[in-house]
Amino acid sequence: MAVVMLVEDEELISTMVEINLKREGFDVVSFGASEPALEYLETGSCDVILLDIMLPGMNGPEALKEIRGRGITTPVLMLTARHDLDLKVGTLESGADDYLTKPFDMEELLARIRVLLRRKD
Amino acid sequence: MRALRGIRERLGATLGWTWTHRHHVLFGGSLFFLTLLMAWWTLFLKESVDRERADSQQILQLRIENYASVLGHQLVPPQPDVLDSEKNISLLACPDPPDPFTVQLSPHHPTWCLTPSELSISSMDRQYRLRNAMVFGEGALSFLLILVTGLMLYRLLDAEKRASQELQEIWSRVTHEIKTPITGIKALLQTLEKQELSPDELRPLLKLGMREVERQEKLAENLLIGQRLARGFYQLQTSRLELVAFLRNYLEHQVIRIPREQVSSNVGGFETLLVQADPNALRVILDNLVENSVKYSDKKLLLQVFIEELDGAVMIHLKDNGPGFEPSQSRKVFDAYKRLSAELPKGKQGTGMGLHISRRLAVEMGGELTAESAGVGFGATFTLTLRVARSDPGGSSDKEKK
Repeated sequence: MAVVMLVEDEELISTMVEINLKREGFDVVSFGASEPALEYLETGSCDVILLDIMLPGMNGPEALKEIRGRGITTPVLMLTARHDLDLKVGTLESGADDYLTKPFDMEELLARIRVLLRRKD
Repeated sequence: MRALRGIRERLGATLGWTWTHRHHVLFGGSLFFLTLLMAWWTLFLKESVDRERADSQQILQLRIENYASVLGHQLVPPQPDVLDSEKNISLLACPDPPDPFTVQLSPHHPTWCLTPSELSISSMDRQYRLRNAMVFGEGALSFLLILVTGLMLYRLLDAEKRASQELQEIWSRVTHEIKTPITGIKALLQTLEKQELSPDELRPLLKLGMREVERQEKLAENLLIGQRLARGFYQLQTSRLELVAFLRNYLEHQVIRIPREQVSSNVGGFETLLVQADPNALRVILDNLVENSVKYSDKKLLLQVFIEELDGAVMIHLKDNGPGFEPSQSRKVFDAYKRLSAELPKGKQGTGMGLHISRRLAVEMGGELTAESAGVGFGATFTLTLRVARSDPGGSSDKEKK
């Protein structure tokens, strides 16, 4: 069973994504900030990372840099409500595999996660 | 081949840089061209002044030669006084060796010569110096004018560019604030559409959904009030308001945002307090202050709400244990669209309008809103001061139209 790590500080979004992922048969590890997520990655693992860009403390792009810096190649899907082109290009160039703008459709999010998993396999 | 590629790359980089900074290049180029034009014009005028001086000298010389010829043919010796005072020409004994500026009175008085008088030479020199100073002065002034105008224009363009970037950033923040609650609500509705949830599962989700709807509602309200205040037609309905009951009711409704045990208050210790306030504006101010504390709290939020009556005013203090700010920033926190991003936890979004609007509303009600903090990491205290209402029932309502 694939494990999805969700890093999102908005409680409702995080809860709803978690419910939907679990319904689709994924295991979910969820964090409200980057720091505990990075701590988890020191010992644990996952198949896909859903990473919000605006996070308290260390933000999404910084966390992504840290993840790739550690040599972790797990596919990362960035989530954000901002649609600045520079931000999108910047995160993709820093090692993100995909990008989804809020408000997104739950079906689209699930489809993109499946694509990332297929690509990984 | 490598050298050629290097040149091509360098040329490409230069052209790329020029295109990226085309406005600056165009601006700087125009300024440079204008300065060159001004320098050329100054040199041209200087040349004219020099030519004019040479012409004057030549005319004087011709006049002297003419007089020398006339006087040289007269048998009577020349009268030095008349020449000096009337013609600006001096009569003197011819120098040996001959001077190029002197002309002999040939053929009858060859020992006498004529030369320009001291007065005419100094007058010509003074005129020449004056004209030169004028030309260079005009040139320097024009250069200074070009420089100042260029500098002012550059600053204007730069300010406009920064304002445009700031506006883009503000809209980006507002868009984020609008989209985030919508994302949660949309996800909730899409889930409910596809999935049966038990009442126990559903209840907390609906509570979260409700909180997001309220967040959206407050954002819309802030944007609307901000716009109306900026345009000067926000209508304030200030009247006598019983503050104790209002605050009790308000705090009771905050449990949706902050658990009861995290809020302490001395409101219960008061019987009644009458203030001059617009209940809607007061609610908006308190909402923004509470939202501010909730949003920027990086640990378990502890909020203290206490009131005091002092010298005909009532003060409502909201003290939190959040990140606080540098004491020097206590006025800046109220600037429109200002977020003390360097001091606040990163990644926290907001429109930057809440505190600005709150202070404007407090002032419109005849009160004040101030902020205090002992420094970053020491929490913040916001104090809303309201006027105590007059006790006579006749003055119970004083509506202000803005």
